[in-house]
Amino acid sequence: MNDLNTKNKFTPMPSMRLYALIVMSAMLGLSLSASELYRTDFIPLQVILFVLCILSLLFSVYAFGKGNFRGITEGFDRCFSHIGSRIILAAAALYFIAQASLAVFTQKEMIKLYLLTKTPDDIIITALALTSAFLFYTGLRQLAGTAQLLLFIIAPLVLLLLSFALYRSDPDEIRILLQITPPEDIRSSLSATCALWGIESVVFFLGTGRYAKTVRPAVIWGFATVFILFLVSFLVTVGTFSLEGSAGILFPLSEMSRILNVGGLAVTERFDVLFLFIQIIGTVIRTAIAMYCASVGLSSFFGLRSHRCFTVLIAPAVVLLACACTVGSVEDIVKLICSGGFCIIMFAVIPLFAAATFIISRRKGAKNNYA
Amino acid sequence: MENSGKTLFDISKDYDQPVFIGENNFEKNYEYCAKLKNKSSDILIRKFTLADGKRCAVVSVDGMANKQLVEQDVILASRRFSHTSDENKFNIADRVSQMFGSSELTVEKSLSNGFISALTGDVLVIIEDCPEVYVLGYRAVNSRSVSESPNESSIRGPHEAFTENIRFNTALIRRRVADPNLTIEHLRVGRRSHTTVGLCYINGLTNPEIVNSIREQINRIDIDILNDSGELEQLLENQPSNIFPQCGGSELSDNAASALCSGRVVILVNGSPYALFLPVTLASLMKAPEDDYQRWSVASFVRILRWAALIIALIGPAFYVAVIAYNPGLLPTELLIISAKNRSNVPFSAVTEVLILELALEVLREAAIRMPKNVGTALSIVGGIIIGDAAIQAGLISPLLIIIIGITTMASFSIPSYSLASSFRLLKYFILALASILGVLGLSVGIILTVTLLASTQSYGARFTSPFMPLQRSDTADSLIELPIRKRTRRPAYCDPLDMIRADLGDE
Repeated sequence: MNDLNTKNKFTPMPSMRLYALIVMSAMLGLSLSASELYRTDFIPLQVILFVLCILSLLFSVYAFGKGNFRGITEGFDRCFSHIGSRIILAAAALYFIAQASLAVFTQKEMIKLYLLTKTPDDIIITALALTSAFLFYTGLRQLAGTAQLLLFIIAPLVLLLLSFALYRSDPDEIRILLQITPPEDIRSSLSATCALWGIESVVFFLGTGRYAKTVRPAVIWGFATVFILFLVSFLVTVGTFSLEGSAGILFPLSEMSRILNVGGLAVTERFDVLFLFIQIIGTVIRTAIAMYCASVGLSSFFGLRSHRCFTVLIAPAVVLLACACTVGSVEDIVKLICSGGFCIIMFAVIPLFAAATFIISRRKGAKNNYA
Repeated sequence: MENSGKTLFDISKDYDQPVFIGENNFEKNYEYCAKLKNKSSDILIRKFTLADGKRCAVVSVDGMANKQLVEQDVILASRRFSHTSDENKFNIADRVSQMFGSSELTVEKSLSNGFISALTGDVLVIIEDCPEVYVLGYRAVNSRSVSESPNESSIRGPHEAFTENIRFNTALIRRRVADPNLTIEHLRVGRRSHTTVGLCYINGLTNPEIVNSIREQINRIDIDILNDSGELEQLLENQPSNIFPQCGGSELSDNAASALCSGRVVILVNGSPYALFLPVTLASLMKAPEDDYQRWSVASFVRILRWAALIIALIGPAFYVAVIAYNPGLLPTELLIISAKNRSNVPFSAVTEVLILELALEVLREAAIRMPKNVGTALSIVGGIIIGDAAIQAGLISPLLIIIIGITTMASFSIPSYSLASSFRLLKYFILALASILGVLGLSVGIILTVTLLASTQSYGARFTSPFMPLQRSDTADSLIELPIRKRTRRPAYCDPLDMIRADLGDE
C-alpha cells in the first residue's frame, strides 16, 4: 500500500494498471477499423496479420526488457545516436498527435450520428480533447489508475452487450466466414490490423527496462483480452448483419447495439447509448495516452525534463487537427499518417528498435537490473 | 495588572515557563498564576500552609474541577501533608498522590502547562520548595450521559454513542478493546482552547508510519480554537482541495473499536461526540457498522443496493436531463408517451425543472436541520407535500421528475457516510451541468472526471479506491459484498497492519 515514504523511489507500475491501459486503449478499435475488416474477403489472412501484429509487440516487449535503459529516450539514444533519436522522437510526437486527433474525430462522428445530431462539431471535439488533456495532465500512473477503475465499470457492460448480441446473431452468417477465398487486395487486409491501433503506444513507451517486470504479464493478458474482444465483436456483427451487410455500415458495432432489443427487459429500446458510453471512455483514455506519448516525444526532442508543460500545446493541436478533419482532404492525410504510420510502426519501427536493443544489450553483456 | 488590549499570556514567551525554583520560589509561582488568572472570577487560587509549615497553593476552575473533591480531599489532605517528615524518603509525587488520594497525578516541570491543565478541569498543586508542580485529575463530570446516536441508527447492534466528554469516550473504547496494546495518546490542539485530542491505536497492529504521520500532522496544527472533530478532519487532510472525505468517522463506540482492530487510527476530540478514523477508503465508507452483525446474505444484498444507490444519487438527475433533453428515443415507447404527456404543460426546460426541484430540496433539507425539531415535522409536510403537490397541480414540474428526484434523494440518504454523501451531492450538480450541455457525452465526461478524482484521492498512504485500485484481491469481495464471518479472516490491506490475520476460524 504505502505511498507514505515512497515519493522519491521508483516503484514499477502494477500489471493490472498496464493491463487496463492496453484494454481501454483498444476499445475504440472495436468500431474504428471495423468497416475495413468487413471489406476483406480473406478472413484467415486478417487473423494471421492480427496475430503477427501481437507477436511483434510481444517480441518487442521481451527485447526491451533485455535493455538496460531507463526510458525510451535513453534507448533511442543508444540505438540510433543522439540526432537520430531526436528525429525519431519528433516524428513519433507528430504521429501521436495525429493519432489523438483521429481518435477524437472518429468519436465525434459516432456521437454526431447516434447521440448529438444538432450539437456543433467543435464543442464535441473540444469536450473530448479537454477531458483527455486533463487525464494526461494527471500523469501516467494516475491515468493508468483511472483506466483500471473505468475498466471495472465498463467490463460488465461489455460482457452484457456482447452476450445480448451473441444471443441475437445468426450462426449461419458466421459459418460463411469459414469459406476460404483469395484476397482481392492485400492492403485491405493490412489495414484490418488497425483494429489494434493505439496499443503500440503502451508498449512503445512502457516496454522499457524500468517497467519490464510488470509489463510482460500485462501485455500478454491484455493482448489476449483484446484479441478475444475483437473476435467476438466481429462474429456478432457478422452474425447480425452478414459479411456484406456489415461492410456497408460505417460503425457496424454501434449499429448492432442500436437495433439490439432484448424482449422482457423493457428498460431501453436502444443499447447504442451503452455502447457509446463505453466507446467515449475508451476514446478519452486512448487520446490521453497518445497525448502523453506525444508529450514525452516533444520533451525529449526539446531536452526538457517535464512533459506536463506540453498540455497547453498538445490539447489545442489535437482540437485544431480534429476540427480540420471535417475537411475531407485533411482527414485523408491524418488517416494516412495514422493507419499507414501504424503499419510501419508495428511491422518495422518497433521490431527494428527491439531487435537493435536486443543485439546491443547482448553485445554489451548488459544485465537487466529492473527485470 | 490592567488589561489594556495587551495579551496577558503570550504563547511564544510564556508557554514554556518552567516552575520557579530557589529563593522565594513559591511567591514567584503563585504570582505567575495570579498574573495569568488576571480578573477571571472562575479561576480559583487557594493558598494555605501545610502541616510542616510549607506553603501550598491549589489552582482550579470553578465548575470544571470537582468542587467537592477539591474542597474536601485536596485542602484537608494538604493540611495533613508534610513532604519532609518522612524518613523513608518517598518520592514527593508519590506522597502527593498518597495524601491527596488521587490516582491520576501528573508531575509537571512546566508551570504554564500545569496552569493550562487547571484550565481544562484538572487541579494544579504548587508546594513551596518543590521543583515541580502536581496536576490532579479531579475533573467534574459536566457532560450528558451515554445515549443513543441521533444520527447513526441501527436495528441490530450496539446503540452506545460517544458523548462530548473525551474521558467517557476513551472509556467506551477501552471497554470494548480491553487490550493493553491499545494506546490512547493525549495531544493538545488550539493556542487558546488547548483542546485535548486523543490519538488511539493498537500497538503492534496499527502501522507505526501512519500513527507517526498523523501525530506529526496534529502537532503541526496551529489554530486558536478547536471546537469539533470536523475542524480537525479538515486540518488532517493531505489534499485539502479534494472533494472527497479523507477521514472516516462515527458516533458509535463499536464502530470505533472495529476500526481500531482493523489497524486504523481513531482520533477523539474533547467536546466532540464524533470520532475520526484514518486511513479511509471509498469501500470502507460504504460499509455500515450494522453489516457485520447481520447474516452475510442479507448484508451483501444491502451492500449491493447501497452501491447502486451511490450511482443513482450521482447520475440520476443528469441521466434524466440527458435522456429527456437530447435522446428521448432511448426510452421505450410507452414510457416515452407518458413522459411527453407529463411534460407537455411544463414551461421549463428539463434542466431548469431539475434545478428548481433539486435546489428546493436542498433548501428544505437545510431548513429542516436548522429548525427546532417540533417545527421540523411541520416544515417537511409544508415543503414536501403541500408545495410539491401544488407545483405539480400548477404544471410547473412533471410528476415523473418528482419520482426521479425522490429516488435520487432516498438513494443519497442510503449512503452510510454523511461526508461521502455530501461529496457526491456536489458532484451530482457538476455532472448535471455537463449533461445539460452535452447530453450523454457530458454524462460520460462527468463520470470519467469523477473516477479520475476518486483515483487521485489518498488518505494517509491508502488509496481511496482501494481495493479496486490498487487491486487487493483479498479485499475486493468483502468490499462489494459482505463475506461470511468465517471467511473474514484478514484485516484490510489498505491499513497496512503489522498483523494481517484477524481470526483463525478454520474452514468449516
